Amino acid sequence: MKNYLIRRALELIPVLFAIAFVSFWLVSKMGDPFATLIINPHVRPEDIQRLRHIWHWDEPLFIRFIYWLKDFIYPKAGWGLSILAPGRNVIEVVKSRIPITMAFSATSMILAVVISIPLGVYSALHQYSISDYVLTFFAFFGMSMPTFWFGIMLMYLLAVKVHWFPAAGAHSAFITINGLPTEFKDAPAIKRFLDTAWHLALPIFVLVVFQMGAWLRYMRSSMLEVKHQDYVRTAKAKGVNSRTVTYKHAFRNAIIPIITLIGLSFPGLIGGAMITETVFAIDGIGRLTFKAVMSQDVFVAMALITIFAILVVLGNFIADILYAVVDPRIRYS
Amino acid sequence: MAKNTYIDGGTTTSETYSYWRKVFQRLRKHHLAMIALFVLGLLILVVVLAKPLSFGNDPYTYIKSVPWIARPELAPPGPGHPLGLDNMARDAWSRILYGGRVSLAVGFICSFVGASIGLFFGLIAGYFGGIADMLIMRFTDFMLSIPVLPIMVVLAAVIRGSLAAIIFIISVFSWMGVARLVRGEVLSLKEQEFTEAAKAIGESPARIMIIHLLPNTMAPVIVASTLAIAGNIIYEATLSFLGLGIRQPTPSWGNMLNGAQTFMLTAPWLMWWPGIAILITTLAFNFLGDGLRDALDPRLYR
Repeated sequence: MKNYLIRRALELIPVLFAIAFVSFWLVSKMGDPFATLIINPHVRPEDIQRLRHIWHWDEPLFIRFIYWLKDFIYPKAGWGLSILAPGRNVIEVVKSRIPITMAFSATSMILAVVISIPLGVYSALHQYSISDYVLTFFAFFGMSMPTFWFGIMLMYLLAVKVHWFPAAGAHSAFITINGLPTEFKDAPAIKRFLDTAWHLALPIFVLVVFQMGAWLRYMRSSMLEVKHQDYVRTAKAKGVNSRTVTYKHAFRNAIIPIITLIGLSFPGLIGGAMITETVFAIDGIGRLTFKAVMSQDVFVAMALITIFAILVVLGNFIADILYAVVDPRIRYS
Repeated sequence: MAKNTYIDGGTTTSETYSYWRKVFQRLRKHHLAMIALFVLGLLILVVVLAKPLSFGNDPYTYIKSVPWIARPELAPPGPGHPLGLDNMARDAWSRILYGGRVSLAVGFICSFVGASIGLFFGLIAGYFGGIADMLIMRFTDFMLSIPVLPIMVVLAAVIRGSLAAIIFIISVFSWMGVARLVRGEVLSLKEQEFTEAAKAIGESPARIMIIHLLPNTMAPVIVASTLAIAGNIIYEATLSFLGLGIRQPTPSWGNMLNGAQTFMLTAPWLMWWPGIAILITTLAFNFLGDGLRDALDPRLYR
């Protein structure tokens, strides 16, 4: 097992290196990070030359990439210059946006999985019943819904038409405490948490519905497949009560593919987070990616895409490992 | 068509059928899939007949004035313009119709290109095995490790603009599933007698792959491609919504929603229909794909 883990982990390195290089190449095609400085009257052409030299932008692509990668792994220069936030280095900009994205994508993922698993099992055990049809239809609805439009419609109906939820942002600028408006950062933690939760309710709901579609379908079909296996029939035949058959014999096997799929769902989650953050104006790393691409903020976009790639590759790795851990039939070869 | 005889619980029934006819018979029992097929037929008919259906409006013409409101920009629905006018005073209904052409075309073409690339790679990897298989599957894994949407956004920002660019960007990321499916199928098919027989009479690998293996892998490819159309339409809509997809003035369902948030307060009617059109189309393709899976592979209990 240990050898298997080490070998799999070593295999990740070339994949990550390749993805980082391809995204570096693509992102640097986007534009010149120093181009915006040219129009600034306070920056002399020599300064731009100097900056180019400092960031190795006068070197060939591959050399430039190696320097960038070195800085990405051992950040000394802070991952480059940011155009969106002048005067701050990229590592600070990115770091400040990670918590909010983590919070709401992790919450939505956990909610989606936790709700979908029992519903999927129920759907499979009551195949072709009314509730199965309703759940199936809901699952298809979640899979087919364009996330951005769902977000816009919810925002329109629940935040603009009736003011149940705030329309945008991750938290209020001011919170009323004892009738006095207090700045968000000075408010007590519980108030801050409640305010953030209230703001994130709609985006989380959008992401939960989006993910639930797939989870419901997976869980249902996995359970249906297991339901017809010989060992389930054997258990039933020898008189094990149906609850035990369902939860001890069938469910435990049906859940295996689901667990591994969690790791593989990262790309979808990243895409979903990017769209919902853009729609709901939440300043997380998803919206930052989009803004960086739109304003040709090369260093920021590069750092973010590399982070996303690491997440996706790690997700695949976790999926493999979990598969080997939960399913004893898998050989660690 | 083959003549087959069934012995069925003591009664002998004899019918003439082909494989695809049998598939269609099974599909017909799947009510949702049949409704989806009908809806898709209707949608295709509507976008093909976009011109006669758009009440003499043109999706590219700026309308000078409408009788029921002072300014034609963002005018609410009225006679002759059932969905109102957009922010550049163009008829929204005709833009939905013509935009449907673009969205559906992108969905179909990307899915077709994706399936073709996937078939190509899958057949080669599965049939030849060895180093070709290893290289192709490693490449497939690599493509699956890419965070799709962020990279698509970057790609769209690099090669801005044309319809061909969008089709290219989406197709590049829609072949991996098919490649894996086809490889898996070919691995088992190439051990079967008919492939051995074809080899024995000296047929070339290319011929074996195209004539013998390809038709036998079609069932899962058709299912995957149908479901991929829905995903591709959403990708196109998302990119266009972000302003990186189909460019103005060409209408697409996605780029009609591009300004929707800005006009949410002044013209909320504009954001309903493009989204509903996308939802109906993707729902229909997903239901059809699901029905096809049941019809093509009756062994599954789904």
